[in-house]
Amino acid sequence: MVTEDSPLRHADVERIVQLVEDAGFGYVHFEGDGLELIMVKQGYVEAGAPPPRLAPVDAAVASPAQAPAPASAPAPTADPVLPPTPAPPPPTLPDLDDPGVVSAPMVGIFYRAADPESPPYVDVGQRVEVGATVGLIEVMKMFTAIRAEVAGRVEEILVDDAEQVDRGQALLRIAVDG
Amino acid sequence: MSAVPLQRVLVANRGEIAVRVLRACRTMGIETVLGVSEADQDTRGVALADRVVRLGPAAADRSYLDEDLLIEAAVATGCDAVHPGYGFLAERSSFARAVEEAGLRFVGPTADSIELMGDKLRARAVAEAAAVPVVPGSEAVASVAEAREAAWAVGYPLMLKASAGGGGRGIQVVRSDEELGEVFEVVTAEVAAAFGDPRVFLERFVASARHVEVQVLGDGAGKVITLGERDCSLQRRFQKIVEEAPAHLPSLDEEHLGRLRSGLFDAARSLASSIDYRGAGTVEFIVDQQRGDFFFLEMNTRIQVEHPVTEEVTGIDLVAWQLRIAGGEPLDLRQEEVRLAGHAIEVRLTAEQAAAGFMPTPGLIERWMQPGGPGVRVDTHCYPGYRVPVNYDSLLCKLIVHGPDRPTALRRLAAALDEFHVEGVATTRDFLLELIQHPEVVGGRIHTRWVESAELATLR
Repeated sequence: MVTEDSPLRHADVERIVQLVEDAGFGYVHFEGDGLELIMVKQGYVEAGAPPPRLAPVDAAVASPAQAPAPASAPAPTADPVLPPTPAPPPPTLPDLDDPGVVSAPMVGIFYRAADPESPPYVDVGQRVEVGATVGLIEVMKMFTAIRAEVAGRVEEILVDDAEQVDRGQALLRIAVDG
Repeated sequence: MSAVPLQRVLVANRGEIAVRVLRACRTMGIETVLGVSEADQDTRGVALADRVVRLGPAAADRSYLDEDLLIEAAVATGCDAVHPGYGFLAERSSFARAVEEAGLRFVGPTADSIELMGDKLRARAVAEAAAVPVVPGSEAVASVAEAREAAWAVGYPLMLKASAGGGGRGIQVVRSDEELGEVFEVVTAEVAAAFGDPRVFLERFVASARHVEVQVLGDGAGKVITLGERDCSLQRRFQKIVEEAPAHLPSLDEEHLGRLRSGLFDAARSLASSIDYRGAGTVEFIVDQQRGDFFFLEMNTRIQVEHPVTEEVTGIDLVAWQLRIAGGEPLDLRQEEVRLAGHAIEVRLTAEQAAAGFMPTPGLIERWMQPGGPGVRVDTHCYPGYRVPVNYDSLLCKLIVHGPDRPTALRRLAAALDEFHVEGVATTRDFLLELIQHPEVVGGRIHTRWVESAELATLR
């Protein structure tokens, strides 16, 4: 779960998940920089040890480190337990392997239209062809057109107009033809 | 204007120029108010200003470009003047006018001067009236047919230019009648959208040209002094990268060079004087380096990015003079007192990846170790831990070196660039280092389009 005030963004979590996935680790516990991150891969069992007390989840858990607790209380980060409420399904974490996901090639400001007076390049439900401009990213006064690499129908737009995006962040999803 | 020294100045800009203006005010005992956007609350200037006001969100049109907001900020904080820096509102006559109508001083020329020089066609007419040579060109052309007819007299290659353009924007090189037909409508439409003024005109494209400009200071009543020239021929897409003073033109012998320089100074003085120019300004020329001829290009009615090279060779604080003139103090500097000593060079270090087509690279500056030593000056708003925002231009810092002669200045520049160490964001350091050590640059065998044609290892 990435909370509103979390220092991590969804894109960061996605990247971490990918890195861990690639490295083949089953369990990761990271602490530092004011946050704690615990990740457990589905079906992970520590060799020669009882299974972790964590309910295995296939998503990352990140929470900002809490203020130092009184010495008598147990350190809040000592025990890797899940937050009381289960993490909601992550609808804004689209599958990056989905060829229909158009992601930001660079950090910048995402614009859905050429200028505030113009209609958006694309809307949900609209059909796009390969190479169609679906948005713009402005970074330091330089504009880059974001183009569809697949043909299909725009299923979801994941970023608001004029929102700052990170490199690799999913911008919109196209339901690919066929 | 009565002489009432400025008490409190609103700095209506950001980045390194905000720092530069704040420093000038501090040394003069003028109080400062810095307006910042949400994205700039950690900029270096915040620590230097007496007071900081938050203007609005990061988007420039709701902060640094919002004329009413800035005037409101100046009035509400008890300022008596506004310094616009460069870019943003510096050359908007409507802003200069509104500032003065609000009872504040505008640290710059009059709104009329800004308007006159901002219109390239009218500026050409002013230059011609002041007997300053202009590049052979046309009046405004309204159609492809008109443009082709005018092109016959101007000759190809030529430049299709926006009357309202400037700062390298709204310019297209055209090589033939056919190409003119292809690009005319596109350029006109782009220019109308970008500047709200569709007028375009033609100007001869001077091949192998140098960009040489003259710094002036005017008292607003006809007195103008010149502070030497700057050569800004190393450009990329009409954006300056390296600037130096004095100009190094080995293709001309000493006698021709002397004649060229005095011609440039006289032309700049007579043009600025003819409009009773007030404050700091720059008259830009293109110089035919084979023949030593020069032509008026445009006048910039503000402090320029590259002003430090002039400060280094003259020892004169240009921003302080801007503030003094805005306070109504007399320009009691005589032309004979302006002495040019040694050689100064500036490079613009930007957050860009040169090898990736100069892709901007905003982000967190993790390490920042800047050079120093004799003759080395760094004008910047950056520091370790500073996050370069995505919202504005990519200039991180200006590195300026000064030495007794050009070879010494070049060596100092190379050593200083080599010493410059930034981590976290990509910078153009290596590109600049290669550029200023390139034999053609060292030998002065360059022109305004040279960078684009040069085979540079750091661009691969």
